Amino acid sequence: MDHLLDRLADTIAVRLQYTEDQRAVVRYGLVALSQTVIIFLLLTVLGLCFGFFPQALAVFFSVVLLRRQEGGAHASSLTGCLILTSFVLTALSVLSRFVFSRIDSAAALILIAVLGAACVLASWKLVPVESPNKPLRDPKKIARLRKNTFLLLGGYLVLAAVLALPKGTLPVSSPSIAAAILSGTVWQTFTLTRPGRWLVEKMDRPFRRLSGS
Amino acid sequence: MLKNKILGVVAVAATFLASIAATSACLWFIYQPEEPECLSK
Repeated sequence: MDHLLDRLADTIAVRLQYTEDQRAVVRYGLVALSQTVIIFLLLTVLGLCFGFFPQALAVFFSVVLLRRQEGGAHASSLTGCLILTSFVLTALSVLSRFVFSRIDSAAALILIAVLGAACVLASWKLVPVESPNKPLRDPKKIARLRKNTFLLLGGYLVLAAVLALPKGTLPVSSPSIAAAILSGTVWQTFTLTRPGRWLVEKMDRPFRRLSGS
Repeated sequence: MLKNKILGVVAVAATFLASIAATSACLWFIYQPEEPECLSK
């Protein structure tokens, strides 16, 4: 996959007469583009085929928007990332649609409160988590990322709580979407922690061997 | 010519996403390649 993106970046650079810096930016952006398109398409196809598309969207956006601000554990290769992320997001979507949505409203609200508090506490201690390939040094940027994290967390938890209210309380009620938002949030927060990094490294090990790193 | 246009669209989309990623803590999935220096400035 990396070789494919290298060749595409080279082709673009030659045809459009880009400088080395421009080529590097395009190459970097192609990773983001390919990750986003592949994972989104996969979730869309599976979600539409098996009836969990709304939940898949909820998990996708809750993870993506939060991860942009928080950082977290990383895989060693693009292929590993695509497979692991697709697996985890699909599993969370399926569980939200067919399992977690069966939890009754009171229990769901308690879970949202407890898990939400845990996510806020973990994020307070850890966010943002930098990567060796993208160190975070600017204090203003770090402050902005932290502020955005807590705004997003607050929004997600309020939305999940509203959707988890008993039917008839409000015009909208969707326990499965509430579960999807909460599970995406919990997963993303988990990847900030040491056990989360350990789990991602373990899951990434076969792909690390394949990529030779 | 058409191929250059398509490559141009891809390049613009990739550059746009790269600039968004530059303001973030990381790329939005669990793979983080090395960020070009010109984006970190």
